[in-house]
Amino acid sequence: MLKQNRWQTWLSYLHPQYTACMTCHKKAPLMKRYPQICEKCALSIPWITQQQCKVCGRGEYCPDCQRKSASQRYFMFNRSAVYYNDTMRQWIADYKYRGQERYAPLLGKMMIEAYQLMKREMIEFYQKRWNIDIVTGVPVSSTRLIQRGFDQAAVLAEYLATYEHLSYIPLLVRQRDTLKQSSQGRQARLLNMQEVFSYAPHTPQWLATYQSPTLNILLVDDIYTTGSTINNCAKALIEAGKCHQIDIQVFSLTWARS
Amino acid sequence: MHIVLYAIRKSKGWLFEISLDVRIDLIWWTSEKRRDERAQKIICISSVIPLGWAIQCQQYLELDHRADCWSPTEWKQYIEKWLYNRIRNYNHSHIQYSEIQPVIPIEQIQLLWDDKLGKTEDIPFLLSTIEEKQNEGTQYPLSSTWKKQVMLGAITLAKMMTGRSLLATEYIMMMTDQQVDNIQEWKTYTQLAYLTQSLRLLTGVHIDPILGYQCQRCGSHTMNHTPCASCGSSACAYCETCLNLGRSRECTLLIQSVYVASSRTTPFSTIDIPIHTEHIQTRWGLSDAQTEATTSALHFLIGSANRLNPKTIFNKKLFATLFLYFIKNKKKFPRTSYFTHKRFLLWAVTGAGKTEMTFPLIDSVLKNAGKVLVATPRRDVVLELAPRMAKAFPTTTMAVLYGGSEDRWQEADLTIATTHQLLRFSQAFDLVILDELDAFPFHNDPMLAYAANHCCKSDGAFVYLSATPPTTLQKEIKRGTLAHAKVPARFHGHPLPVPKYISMPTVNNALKKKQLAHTLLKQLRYSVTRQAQIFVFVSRIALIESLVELLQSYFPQLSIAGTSSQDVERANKVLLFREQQIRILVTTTILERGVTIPYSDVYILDADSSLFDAASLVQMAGRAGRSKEDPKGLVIFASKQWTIEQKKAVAQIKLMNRIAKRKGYLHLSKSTDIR
Repeated sequence: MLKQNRWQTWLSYLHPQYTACMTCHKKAPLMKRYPQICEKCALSIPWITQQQCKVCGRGEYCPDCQRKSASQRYFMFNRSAVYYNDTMRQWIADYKYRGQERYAPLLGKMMIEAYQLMKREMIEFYQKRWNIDIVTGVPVSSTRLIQRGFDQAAVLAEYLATYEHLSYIPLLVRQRDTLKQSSQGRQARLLNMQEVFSYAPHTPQWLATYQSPTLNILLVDDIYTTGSTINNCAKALIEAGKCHQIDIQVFSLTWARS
Repeated sequence: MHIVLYAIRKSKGWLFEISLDVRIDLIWWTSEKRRDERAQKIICISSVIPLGWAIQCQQYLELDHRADCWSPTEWKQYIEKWLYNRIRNYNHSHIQYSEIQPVIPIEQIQLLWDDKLGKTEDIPFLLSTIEEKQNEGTQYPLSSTWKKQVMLGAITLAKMMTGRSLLATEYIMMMTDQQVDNIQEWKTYTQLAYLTQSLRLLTGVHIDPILGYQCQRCGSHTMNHTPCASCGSSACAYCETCLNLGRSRECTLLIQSVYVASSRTTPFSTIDIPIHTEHIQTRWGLSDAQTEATTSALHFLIGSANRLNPKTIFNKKLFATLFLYFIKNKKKFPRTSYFTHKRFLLWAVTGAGKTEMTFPLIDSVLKNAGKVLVATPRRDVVLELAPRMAKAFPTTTMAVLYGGSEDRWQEADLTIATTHQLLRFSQAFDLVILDELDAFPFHNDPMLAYAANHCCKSDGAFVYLSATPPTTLQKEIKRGTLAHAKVPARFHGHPLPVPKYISMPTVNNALKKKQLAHTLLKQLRYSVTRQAQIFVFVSRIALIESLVELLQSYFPQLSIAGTSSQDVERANKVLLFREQQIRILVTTTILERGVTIPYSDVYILDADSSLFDAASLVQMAGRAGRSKEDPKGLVIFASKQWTIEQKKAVAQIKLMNRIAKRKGYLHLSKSTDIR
């Protein structure tokens, strides 16, 4: 086995055989940093490196966070890894709707990089240690979970938690199935999201085990559009904290900011 | 998804069976009428077992008489051990075995029926379902009206599914579309249809003892294993090749209709009407060359003499199986069913009128209540073909299928579809006509070959249409194993334009120097003065834009445009080109087929490029001289070198012209082009 592998290594120098890139399907040398994609695709990732809006992490001018309705905000702020452009839309559609789960390591890796960027920014801002106690994901409903076979936010959160040695705990449940957010307008989305999320029965006990008056929770999701999903989840988490008089700060990290 | 797995003891021995609704199975197997087949004992193994595992047990796990007196623990151990070994054997090395641990909850293993002990009503499992139903206020199950309703439902579903192969989600969509009564009871109906053997329940991805993991829908072996929330397995395989048509998993239900090749004569052999050549020619308005090819195809379809005898089929199947066994790890291999169908190739030159030639064939099958499929690789061809077919066969029900079409679930005698849609059919058609066999998606795609083979009935036939058959088929013709007919002349009876060679430096070079070779320029000027529409084919998309600029500098008074696969306005530009608004169109091989422009000249620059093979050169050359008014278009191969591919293309064109001349299909015998 080893012998054959060594031969193959030598042969591969003389005659490299590339596997196809997952996103563009062309045969090309794949990147080591980002799993399963070629360099061209890796360079096309629209990273958000400079936030214009410090609240929702948008890379451009953001009128939404200055509206009056936005004052009812339960989470601290949101940061996103990438802009939600056509390429990214294609990727997430391939992953979520078509079910190509090979995207999971790639998206997970992108989340990790976004988290590191976020951490650097926070340490600069707070001028001290800033750490996350619990990572949790925005849940999907059980019917959709059975239909789709996986929970994308949980998968991303787990990738992040394992890499950063944080603890991932599913703290939230979705009460009812909502219409797909991607097929609705802004107002409808905001209404659609009300009273959908609540904390899981075991959540207060979990939070109590930390024996700390304040907890930082990182909420992970795939796409941030109006922020209503994140806001409702944060509200549920804060309510869960009130059971044991724990002050909870929710930070949100999403993969894309549309 | 989950399914119920139960073991049943019949007089012959133990068997495993799967069920979507155990009530139906209990009624079925315990009925007094079923004397020999009647169940002596039924043991429910699990009601939450992943479908993939259940089907593995059903198909490959054997039980002997020792199982008669097993306790639940023994059942559990036996099945778990077997499943564990099986899954481990066929999994790829990158999965951690420790993760896969089939578990059957012991409390679910229970006796459902014992012949000696008692009646069905005593069984707690069944009672609970009856009570549930009563509380909901629906009809009392097991009553005769309920049974009748289930029976009718099963018949409707079986009829609806004839010739189809659908995943559970598509199946439900189809039922909703066809407005089946009581859709929420589909599991009950389907189970009855399964027991009566009119439907087949399969998994999307199957573990085959020889081939390993294989997608039952598309035949591919490229799998990805992921934890699955819908079946609970930690390494549930899904097929990566046919994701576009909905995900096919190890735990998704694939429902196929069962086709039994009946002993009654097939649509082909019932054609007892003698074939009148003149009748065909006048009715469908065909040329001499077309008529001859069509009649020989018809004779082939009717005649059984040309069919392989069973012995050869058996030998070939045996060989294929052995072959597969030895190349287990290789991905590409011939399909066993590939050998068994009747196949006929219509090798018709570009512009011969292939579509018209298929009309008599389709007609003969439709007359005998057969089903016909016309598959083409591209969606725009399907849309163009549909009205022509509708005109030719006004009384026939027709379904036009492509991604997102509305007649998806319609039952029809004549189906026109893009090739990917074939995956949704199984043993459905008596005649399958594959257009443009060598074009992009078909060629070198084992998935589509698999799909085509599966959608044709086992006693059906294939007709291939191509102007440039792939080398494998050409070899088969030479070997004499493939029946075929050549149509060497165009419908207007003029010879094909033979390409002319011009030596010129590469296009890249010309672009760098910003000047075209004078040889090419001379030809172009000639074409412009004879008022021809000019196709300029180049090998790469990147060259198009700068070449358009360069050409514009030489011909400032003409409108010149470029288009490629990445151009959203392609259809529009082709239209403008046809209307002579654009005079010179620079493009890539994307326009090598299906475009008919009168008065056109074809220039192929960099014809020595490795991206142009003989087939695409012939196709591109076939764009010229297609109309009756201007049968002598110009075809220019401009390149630095004279390659073997160009030589082959020219040889093929000349060969066809020679055959046409010999058979007397050409109107002009004085033509000097034929050498």
